[in-house]
Amino acid sequence: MSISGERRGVVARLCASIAKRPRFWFFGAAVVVAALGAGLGGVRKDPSVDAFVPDDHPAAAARDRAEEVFGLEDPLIIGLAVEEGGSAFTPAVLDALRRIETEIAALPNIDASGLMSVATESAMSAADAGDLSVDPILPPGPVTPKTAALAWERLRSMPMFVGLLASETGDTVTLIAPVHDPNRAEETYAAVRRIADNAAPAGVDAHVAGVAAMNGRLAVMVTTDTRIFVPAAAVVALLFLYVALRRGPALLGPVAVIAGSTAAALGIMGWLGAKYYLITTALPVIIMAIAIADALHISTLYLKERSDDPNLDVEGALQAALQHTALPVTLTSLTTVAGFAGLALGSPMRPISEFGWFATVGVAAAWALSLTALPAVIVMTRLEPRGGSKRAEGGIVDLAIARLTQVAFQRPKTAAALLVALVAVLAVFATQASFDYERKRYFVEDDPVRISDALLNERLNGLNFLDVVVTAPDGADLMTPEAIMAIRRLTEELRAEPLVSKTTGIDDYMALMHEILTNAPQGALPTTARAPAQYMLLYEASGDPGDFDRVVDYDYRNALVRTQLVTDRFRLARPVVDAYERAAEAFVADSGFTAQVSGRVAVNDGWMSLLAGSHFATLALALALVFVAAAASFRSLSAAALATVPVLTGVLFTYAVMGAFGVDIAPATSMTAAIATGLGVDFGVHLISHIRKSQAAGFELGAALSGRYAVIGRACLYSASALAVALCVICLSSAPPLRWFGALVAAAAIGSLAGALFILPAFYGLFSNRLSAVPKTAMEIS
Amino acid sequence: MMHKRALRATVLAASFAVAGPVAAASPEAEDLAKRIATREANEGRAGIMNFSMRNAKGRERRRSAVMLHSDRGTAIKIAIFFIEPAAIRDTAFLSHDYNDGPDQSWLFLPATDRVRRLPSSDQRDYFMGTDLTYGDVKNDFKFDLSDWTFDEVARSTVGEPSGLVLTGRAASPAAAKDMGYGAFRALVDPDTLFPVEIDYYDENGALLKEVRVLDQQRVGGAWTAMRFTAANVQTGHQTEVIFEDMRYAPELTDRALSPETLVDGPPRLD
Repeated sequence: MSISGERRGVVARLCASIAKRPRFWFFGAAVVVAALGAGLGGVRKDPSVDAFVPDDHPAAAARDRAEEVFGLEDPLIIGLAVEEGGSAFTPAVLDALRRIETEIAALPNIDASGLMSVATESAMSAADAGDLSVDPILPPGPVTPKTAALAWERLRSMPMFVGLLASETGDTVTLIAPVHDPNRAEETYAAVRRIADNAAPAGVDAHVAGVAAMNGRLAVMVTTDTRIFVPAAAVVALLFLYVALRRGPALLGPVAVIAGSTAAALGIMGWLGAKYYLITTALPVIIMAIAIADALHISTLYLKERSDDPNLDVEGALQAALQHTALPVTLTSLTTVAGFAGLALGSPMRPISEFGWFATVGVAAAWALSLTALPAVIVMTRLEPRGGSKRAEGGIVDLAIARLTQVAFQRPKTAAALLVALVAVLAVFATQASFDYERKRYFVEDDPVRISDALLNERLNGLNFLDVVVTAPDGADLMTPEAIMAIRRLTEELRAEPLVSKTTGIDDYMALMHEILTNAPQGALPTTARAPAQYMLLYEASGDPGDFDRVVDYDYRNALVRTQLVTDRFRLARPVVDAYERAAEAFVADSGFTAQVSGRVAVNDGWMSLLAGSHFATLALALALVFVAAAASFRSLSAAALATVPVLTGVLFTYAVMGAFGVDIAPATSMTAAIATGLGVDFGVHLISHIRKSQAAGFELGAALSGRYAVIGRACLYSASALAVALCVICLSSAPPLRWFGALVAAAAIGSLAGALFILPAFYGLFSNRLSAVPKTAMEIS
Repeated sequence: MMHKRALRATVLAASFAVAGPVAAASPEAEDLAKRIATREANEGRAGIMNFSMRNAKGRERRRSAVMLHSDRGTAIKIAIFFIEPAAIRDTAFLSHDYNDGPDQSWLFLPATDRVRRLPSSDQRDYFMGTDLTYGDVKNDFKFDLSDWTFDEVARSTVGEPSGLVLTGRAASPAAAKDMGYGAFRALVDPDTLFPVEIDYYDENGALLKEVRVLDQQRVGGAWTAMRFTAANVQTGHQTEVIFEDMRYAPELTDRALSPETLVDGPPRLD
């Protein structure tokens, strides 16, 4: 018996068994799905953007170390702003600042010991005869106009705080609030926002921004909108499915496949202890798309069999439909798995890699349920075709697909010219797509956190931190004139870079103390051998030694040079990060200390560079695996090449939409191209399988591209359209990342469909001589 | 252990918060506090003070200094001449805490070759980056009778070192604010009248600091803490102080403890 014969036998036996014991197959599948789905409870949520950067990445490691030593990474920034030109140094505003500080200090995720504002910090000044006086910037006790004015005066005497704790003009005061976990700040952000809004006096705007606030807001937004729009997308997809199948009972099987495959994939995530990242939100939608495609092909063919032959019973029609679709559904599942495996293997970013692996699980589950639970439901519900003429099953859609196919096939040169023109236009847009990231773009323009971010960045001239951590070798410390001078030179070099609005380091404090104690010119540093250490001791005896915690660590071995950039945009900050790296290397060579670039901008640069370095390799790997899987399935390189045509058009559409609408290639969007490979290959495989089967049955190429070909095309059309329309529903979300995802995957689906329905027949027309040969092996035509 | 401590803290905090300043003082407790306050003190002592401070992240600062301590009834004078680390060698600190009149302190910095007057400190301010306040240093393991209301005295419970347990709370909100403490619970050695364990609570009734005396010795007739720790449980910062070569030094003169002589380093003592 031939292999195809064996497979036909397997399909026949499967069909017979399902026909005989449909409940066994359905409930058996349900039990397996329930067992796998029970793992859902174990899925741990991790909405952090930093999950994209590997733990051992140098930028992340440096950030973690800076966080551990200095404790001011990724804080919440609360601002109280009066009208431009006014002063926030009034009793009402400063009282409100104190109230906010007291209240948020009690929040669980806030590091109360690290709060920083004019109400917590001290100012140095010269007391009598050149002695050092250290006083709270805002004197304790009730705030009066006099103490408010004194606070403004003291703040201005501390240049390191101007542009951080208050704007240069004094129209904004801030409270910097470190959080224990900036990636899980959803509730903290909401609570702080509420406290700040309640405390702000009339005429004063409360603002909450900073990385922790934006992370929190983003997580809330994506989670909330996901709960609304993903189910809405599923409902719309089902409505489309209803339009395709034209009867309610026909939806039961596909719904079982969609729900079962999604539950299985997410459940296995839980059993394996995997995390649910921000991008995992897209997983149910992708699995739904694949499940719809599988279920739609089988259901469409079943109904077509019943419609074509009214004498055929449910079991007979199911047998015929599965004989026709089981192999293509299997092949498409294999090629889709290949595409997602490419994504999983190629991406160095854990969330993307895991997305790829769990998508393959969903694909496998959809395949298994489409061949078991779906036929069982069809048998149990005794699904009947819609009454009426034979044409009613396909109607005008089949006709349109048939005509489009024939036009493309019979006028291949015209089709090719159109194709070239289309590719050229799309390519122009696609080349506009670029690797970029800017945190604020993840929010709509009128989002409160974006408004706050814009205002605070404008008034404080940039709150994007890019730091260098300087470390003394073992057995030494940084409290020497030479070390302080070396830090000063490094700071000056960093300050000269574009985008840098402010620098702060231990050298600033040392210069101020030196000026106060010795009447030295402003900015001069001490040169006496033991002066820095003794100044620090003097400060310990005069004020709170903790005042230096953010610039130098407890045993004076690490110092933080903190700089503020006017933007965190990757494309603009990239050269600055490079320049910092060079400056750090020069500093190491010059001083004998070590230096490491750190801070939020460096971390973002780290994972964006990682993405830029791996993105096209990941895509190429996904494409290569899809090609190999298709070649192995068809045992034909030319068929595999044809199967990748819709994949390539889908990918091209994706990049073109990115370029046309200014969507950055960033972690949230980068994987859509690879997803396009997994989704797009289905259409080609279904259509090519049918053509080759028809050829093997003795039909000419032209005939193979007609008749039932249109039915397969219709299933492709409905499945792509269902996905595209469902994703367009997601585009209604207020969360830009969800919008981008919806638009890009919809573009991929439409692009792949166009490639399958129009370009594929054109290729057959162009290379008809070569492609007219009848497939040689029985396996190919099964 | 933790459970017991937490329970104790809760009970104390609750009594502090609920009873407040209206609760009656216990005569027995007052009596014990008076005996502690009048515990014999020496007019002068000198020794090497090694102190290490450790923050919550485990990073450490170690310092050594010659310490002179004089208590002549009207004022407590303390001089600290740093020996280690090398960067602060010869730096000297001096404080004069008067019974009546403002306290004064100075620091001599060799790098600027000048004795500098330090801003006046409140009782609650921390002393030279340690976990002891200026009030702690001044009071020398005694409880100022005017600052506290003493609630209770009892025998220590099973599991604790044997001794008398004395509890007290700030005599007024103003006193609490000045001291930085709202209440305390101390385990007192009945033989030496030395509090060997003191738990301080902040103004809100939360446990703030634990002081533990690990070694006490008689110096010139007065019991003196030779080794003790102070740990701020809210910040995780802790300090350990160990005295070496401590000796009775009644010959310490006012001149030896004056700002003018700080530049000369520690005086020679016979």
